[in-house]
Amino acid sequence: MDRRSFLNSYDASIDPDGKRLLGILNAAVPVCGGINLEYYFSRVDNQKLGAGTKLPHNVMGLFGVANGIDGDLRPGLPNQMIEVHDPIRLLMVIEQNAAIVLDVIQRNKATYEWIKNAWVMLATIDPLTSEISVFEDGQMVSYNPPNAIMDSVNNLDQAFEGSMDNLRIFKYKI
Amino acid sequence: MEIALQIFILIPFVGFLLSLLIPENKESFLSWLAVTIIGLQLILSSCFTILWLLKGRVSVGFDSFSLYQTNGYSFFLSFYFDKISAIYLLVGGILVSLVTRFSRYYLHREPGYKRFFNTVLFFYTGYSLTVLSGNLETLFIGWEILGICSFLLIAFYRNRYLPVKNAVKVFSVYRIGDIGIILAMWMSHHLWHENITFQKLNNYELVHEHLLSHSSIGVFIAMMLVLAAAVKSAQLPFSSWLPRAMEGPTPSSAIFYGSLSVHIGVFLLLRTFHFIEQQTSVRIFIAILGLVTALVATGIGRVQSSIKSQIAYGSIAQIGVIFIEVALGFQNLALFHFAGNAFLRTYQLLVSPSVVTYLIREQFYRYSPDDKSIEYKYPTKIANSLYILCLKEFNLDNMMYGFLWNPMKIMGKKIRFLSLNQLIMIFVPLYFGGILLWIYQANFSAFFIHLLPIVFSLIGLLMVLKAFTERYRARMSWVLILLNHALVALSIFFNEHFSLSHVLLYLSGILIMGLFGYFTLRRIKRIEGNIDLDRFHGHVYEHPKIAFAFFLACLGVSGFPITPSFIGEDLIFSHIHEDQLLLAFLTALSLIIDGLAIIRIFARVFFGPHTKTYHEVAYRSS
Repeated sequence: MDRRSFLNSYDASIDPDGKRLLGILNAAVPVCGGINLEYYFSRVDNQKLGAGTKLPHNVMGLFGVANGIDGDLRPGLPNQMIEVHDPIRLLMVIEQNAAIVLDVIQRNKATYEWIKNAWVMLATIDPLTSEISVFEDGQMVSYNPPNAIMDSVNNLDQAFEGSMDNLRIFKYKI
Repeated sequence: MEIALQIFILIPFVGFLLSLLIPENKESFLSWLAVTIIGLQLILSSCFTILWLLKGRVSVGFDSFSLYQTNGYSFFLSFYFDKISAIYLLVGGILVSLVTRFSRYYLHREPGYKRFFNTVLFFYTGYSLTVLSGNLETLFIGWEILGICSFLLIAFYRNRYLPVKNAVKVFSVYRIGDIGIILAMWMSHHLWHENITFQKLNNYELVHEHLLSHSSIGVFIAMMLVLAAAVKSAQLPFSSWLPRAMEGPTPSSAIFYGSLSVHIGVFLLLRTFHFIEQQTSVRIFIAILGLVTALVATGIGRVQSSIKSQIAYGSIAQIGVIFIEVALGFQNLALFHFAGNAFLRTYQLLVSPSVVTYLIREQFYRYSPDDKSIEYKYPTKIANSLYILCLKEFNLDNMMYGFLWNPMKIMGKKIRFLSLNQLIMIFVPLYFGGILLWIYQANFSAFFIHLLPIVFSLIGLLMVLKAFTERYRARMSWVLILLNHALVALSIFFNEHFSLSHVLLYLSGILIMGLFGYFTLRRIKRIEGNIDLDRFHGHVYEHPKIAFAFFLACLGVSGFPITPSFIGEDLIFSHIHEDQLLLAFLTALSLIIDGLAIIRIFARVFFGPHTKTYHEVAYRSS
């Protein structure tokens, strides 16, 4: 997942009513969602919504960057930061029962806006049954992965090296 | 030992040629080559300098081969090595090798990686040639290479609007300096009756004797040299080009505009100091120029909002002080100051992207306003006026437009109604008439014949003004430039030392490259349809090869060194007499605008935001 993922520690077994999960989501959804959208839009059109290449940047007034001395202040991220990223929405995977998660995300309206309007994708994996559910139109819908045969790798570094493109889906064997 | 001087120019030049052959995707090999070549040159030049020190620091001069030789005229390359060359060569070598090492990784995966190292190597060739030059002609070749490399590096992001606009702007200011050198070269032919070498200028009696009998010529040459130096070193009133040149990748800004390129003006003054030394009025002028620049640039630098323009104006102010030192005759101090300023500004520019990290500690955690600052002691009105003036950079940038380019544009617009066919209808009879007049000149009064060259060069000037202001037809603008060259040649016909071979040499270079350029323009028009000059087209995005071919044609037609038209240009000037100041001025002016018109066509057709938007295109104002 080369430079593209976060991991937040959370133990579903000691949080049956989702109180702690709420605390995590209140912070993680707007922060990670915001970061994701910054990358998203910078990648969609790096010249207009991002900052272009950072090589000629000129620091303006200690608060922004521009090109040269009479250019506009640049928004977004420079090309060097987004080159390994694709314009896709953030996917959050929570190891918790789907019903509890559905309840938790609706407790804070501001956080729920992100998820309801699909700026952040949400999936859960049940700690007991390992069943995967995906948030769709206000419901948690059960998800069945396609039964495809996957290549397996045992050296992740080797898989990363040599290509800037997205990795194929591998099964990871230790 | 003297012969070794040529090697220092050959090494980077061979490196440049080799770097052209390496494919774009061989990043590490490309940068390795650049680092090795420049490192090799640095080591050799250090050894050479040590040897030279051990041998007692005798100035070394060496006249290399003649590029062109006829009776009464010889164009030869000449090299010269003394403490000034030594300092400039070593400082340049150290800085360029450090910056290329830095750029190896800094430019990683940047489109144009190859272009960057090509240009740096070519720049370094020009730089070495300039600092080791032994006469004005050789210096001018290096000088021109620096100018064209500046254009290429400022417009490094060639598909964005602002870099291209600023590159054309800087190039047009540089052109003024070029004319200073051309006129200085022209007049010094007449003063010395030869291509004087810098070594001979060290001869106090010789200079003294010539200046005694021709004091006004001496002042003219010296002032032209000062003009060229002031342009290149961004002194008043030309200062505003330097911050606008900070458009390329940061390392290139650091090496060119922070350190080496801006100090070439100082170099020119130091190099010709033995000539200026005996003219007190010129020395006073240089000192005042330096002083005013230092004061104004300090003020501007203190209120600029962007880090790179602060550094640029800081550098200009220091160079102003160096000018004062040169005028006072403190050569060693000036050299020491140059080295210090060059290293400091390169460092400052290289760390400028991290300035927030550096200053945030200072300003966020332990910030206390500076109450000892001198501005607090001024009356409020003066302080505020100064503040606004400095913020506006004393309107220097607008002034360049108002006084230099706008009058030309207005004049050019007056003759916009003429079409290409009409022009050719006028041009052909005029030209044949001119040749007939020349053949039968014995039948006319001497005054009339004396007036004719001025008339022809005026018509040539009008042609090139029209080329410069043409808003639509690129090919017509190109043809007008060629016609101007023909008229320049015609106006020289009427001077008695006329030699057909000289004019042919001049015109053959122009003609071949002119036709080549015409056909490349026609080709791009066939492919793309619209190449009107009223907007930027950015066709280099899809047709880099055609763009490169047209660039070569532009160099040829604008009399770039290494092309036959360059020697021709110098020759043409050697045929203008010292009492024909007006003719020299008109010819020089038409050559300046000529260069501008050429670079304008190139920039409009091939550079700037791409007309097609199937890929990311930046805003014009970004």
